[in-house]
Amino acid sequence: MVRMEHCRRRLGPGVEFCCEAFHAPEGAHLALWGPSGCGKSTMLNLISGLLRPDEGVVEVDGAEIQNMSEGQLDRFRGARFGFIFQTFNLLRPFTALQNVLLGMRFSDTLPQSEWKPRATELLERVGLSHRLHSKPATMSVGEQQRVAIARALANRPRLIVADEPTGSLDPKTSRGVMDLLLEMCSEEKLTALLVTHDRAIADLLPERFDCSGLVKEVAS
Amino acid sequence: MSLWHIAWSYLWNRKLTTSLTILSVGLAVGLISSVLTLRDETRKRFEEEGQSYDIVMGAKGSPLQLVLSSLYFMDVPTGNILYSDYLHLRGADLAVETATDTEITATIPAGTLLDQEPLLLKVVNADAGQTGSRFDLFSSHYDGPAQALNEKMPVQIASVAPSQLPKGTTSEAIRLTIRGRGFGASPRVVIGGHEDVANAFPIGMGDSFQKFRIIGTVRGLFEHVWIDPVSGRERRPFQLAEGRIFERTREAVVGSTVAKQTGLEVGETFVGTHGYIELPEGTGHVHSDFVYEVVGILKPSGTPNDRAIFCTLDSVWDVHGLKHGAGYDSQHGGHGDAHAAEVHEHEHAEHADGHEHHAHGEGEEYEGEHEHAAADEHGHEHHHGEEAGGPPEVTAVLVSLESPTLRFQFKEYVNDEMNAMAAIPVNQVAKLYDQLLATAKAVLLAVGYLVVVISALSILIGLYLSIIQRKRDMAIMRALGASAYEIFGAVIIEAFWVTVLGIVSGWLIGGLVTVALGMYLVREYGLSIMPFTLTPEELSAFSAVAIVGLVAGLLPAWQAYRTDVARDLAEL
Repeated sequence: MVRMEHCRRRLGPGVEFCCEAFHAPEGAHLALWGPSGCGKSTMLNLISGLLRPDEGVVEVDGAEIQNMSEGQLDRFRGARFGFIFQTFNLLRPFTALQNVLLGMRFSDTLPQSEWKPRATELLERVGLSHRLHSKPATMSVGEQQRVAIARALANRPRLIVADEPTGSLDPKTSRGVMDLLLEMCSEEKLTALLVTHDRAIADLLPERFDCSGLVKEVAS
Repeated sequence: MSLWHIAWSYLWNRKLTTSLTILSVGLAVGLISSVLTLRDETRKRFEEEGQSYDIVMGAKGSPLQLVLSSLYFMDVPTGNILYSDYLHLRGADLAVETATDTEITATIPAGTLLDQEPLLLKVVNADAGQTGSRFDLFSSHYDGPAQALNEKMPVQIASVAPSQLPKGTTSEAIRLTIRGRGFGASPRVVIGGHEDVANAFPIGMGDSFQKFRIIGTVRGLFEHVWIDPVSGRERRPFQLAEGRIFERTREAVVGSTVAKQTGLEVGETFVGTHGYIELPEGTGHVHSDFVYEVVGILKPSGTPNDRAIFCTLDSVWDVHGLKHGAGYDSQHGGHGDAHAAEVHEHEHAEHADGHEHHAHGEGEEYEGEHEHAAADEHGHEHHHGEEAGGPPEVTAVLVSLESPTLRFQFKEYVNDEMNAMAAIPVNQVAKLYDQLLATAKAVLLAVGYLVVVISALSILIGLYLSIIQRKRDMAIMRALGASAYEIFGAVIIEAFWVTVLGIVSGWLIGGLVTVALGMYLVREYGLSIMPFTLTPEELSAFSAVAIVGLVAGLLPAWQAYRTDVARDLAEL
C-alpha cells in the first residue's frame, strides 16, 4: 500500500530527512514510533503528499506521488487519505455533521446523495448521534477527536494517517479513542499509519516502525 | 455544501469583525448613494417644477435669481415690472353674461383701449383646462367674419358678432356673441394678449409671515394644471385640503407646511412683516393694521407652494397702500383692459420704518430699466410702484405658452420688445446644476470614492488578518482534498459577501440619510424627494465599489491560495 525508497528531504541548513526503505502492506495497522524530532511526522507528510521529497520514490496505492502536480495531489489525497490530527483540526464555524460533510465535499469521491446518510451513520458509530449539530467549541476534546475519526473515514479512504491522535487526550480517553479508531479501520478494511511518541500507544497496534535516526545532520 | 456556504459560515463565525467591515463599506456607499440621490432627485424636482411654466418674466437682472425667487420662493426678486406688461401678455377676461357649450355672450366694457395687433379673442374651456381657438377681431386684418387660427383645437369658435371691432378706446360697452362648440359650462373669454401666450399669472411679493412668503396673485393660478413632460403625470399643485380660494382682499390661502408650522387654521388671522426673512419678534416692520384671514389650506404638493401664503394682488398692493390695476378681476386675472392698464388711485400709506424706497420719477419706469437696490438689512425691497402716482407693479409673471417650442422665440420677444426680462425656468435650473452644483457634487463624490478606497483597505485588512488566523483551517481544507483554487475562491466569495452586504446596507443608509435630508428640504424649500432610488449612475457607482471590494479580496485570496499545508498544519 505504501512504499518509500531512497527518500530524502532537506528540512533546514544541515538537517535532512532520509529513509532508505519503508513498506506498509495493504490492511496493515502500523505505528510510526520514535522520540520527538526523529522525523516521524515528516515521514507521514511525505507519504500523504503534504511534503515532496527532494529525491527518491513515494508510492501510495500503486501510484508514485512525488511527481504529481498540485491539483493531482489534491484529488489523490482527497480520494485515498483520511487524516486525523493531534489537535483534531475541526473547522470551528461548522457543526460536527458539517465537518464530516466538508471532507466529502472537497474530495468528491462519493455520490452527493450518499454524503448526509454516511456522515450521520459515521457520527452515530462514533457515539455522537446526539451531537450532530454541535459546533466544536461546545464539545469535549474526546468528542472532537471522535468527529475527526468520522471525518477521516467519510470518503471511504484507502489509508488513514493519524499524527499523534491521542496527543491532546488524557490516558483514559486516549485508550477509548485508539480502540475506536482501530476497530473502525478493521471494519472498513483500511490501512492505518499512526504517528506517536508514546510507546504505550504504539504497542496497541500490531506493527511498529521505529523512526529514530531518520533525521540526520548533513554537511550543508 | 457550496463554497458560498463555507465563505458565509466563516463570515458569520466572526460576526463583529464582519459587521464592522460591512459598516465601513456601507458608510462609503451610503455617502455616494445619498449624494447621487439628492442631486438627481432635487434636480428632477427642480426641473419638474421648472416645467410648470414656460417662461418667467420679471425685472431685468439675474435670470436665475428671477426663477429662484418666482418659482421656488428662494431668492430675493430681481425687482418689479409693470402690471400692464402682464396684461399685454395675457389679455383681459371679459365678463361672461350667458354661456352654453355652443354660445357665449360677453361684454367689452366702455373705455377699453383696443390697440393691440392682432387683437385676439380666446375662449377657454375652464372645466377641461383646454385653451380655445383664437380669433383676430381687428377690421384692419380681416374683412370678413372672424377667422379661426387653429381649427384643430377642441374648443372651436365658428363665428363672432360683431366680427369687426373699432380700433381705439371704446366709447360704450360692446356685447359680443360667440358661437361654436366645446365651450363647456363655465367658459372664460379673453381679449387681447400675446398670440403665443396660453396663460399668464402675475405674482407680487414683498412681505412674509414668520418665514413664509406672502404671494399676491390671481385665482386663475389655482386652476393651473400642467402635464409633467418627464413623468407624463398631470400636476395640480394647488388643491385645497380645506376651505376655499381667496375671493377678496385680506383673504389668504396657506400652503400645507405653513399651516403645519404656524398652526394657522381656516378662520384664523395673521399680519405680515416686510421682507422675506424671519426677524426676531418686535424688530420687523409689521403691518399690524392689515390683517389677513385664512380662508383655505392647500393639500401637501411637495412643491414650493407648501411653503407659501397666497392672497389677491389687491392685498399686496393694499398692504403697501399702492395703486391697483383698473378693473382688476381677482377671479381670473386682468379684466377690462385689452392693453395698458388704466389705474385708479388708492391712498398711499407712508412707511414710517425708514426703509429705502426706490424713488422712480413719474414716467421713469416706462423708459429705463427698473433699478432695484439689493435687499436691505431686513432682507427685502419695497416694490409695486410705491411712489405716489406710479403705475401698479408686479414682481413677476408666470407664463404658459401655446407650445414649449416657442420658449426661445418668446424669450427674445420679451427681452427685445418689452422693458422686462424673460427666463426659461428649466434652462436656468439645468445651468444651476451643471455649473454651480457640479463642483459640489464632484467634491462630495470624490470624498465618497475616497471612503470607498478606505473601505476597500478595511476589507483587505479584515480578510487578510482573518486568513492569517485561519491558515490552519485552510491547510485542513487542503488536507481534506480542497484545491488551491477552491480556497482562493472561498476567500474571494467572502470579499464578495462583505462588499455586496456593504453596498446593500449603504444603499439603505443612503436612503435613510436622504429621508432625513428630504424632511429638511420639504420644510425649508418645499421640495419632496424620493429617498430610495436606483438610477443607472448609482448602479455604476455600486458596480465600481463591488469591483474595488473584489480587488481588495485578491491579496488575502492569493495568500490563502499559497497555503503551505504541511507547514501550516505543523505550526499550530
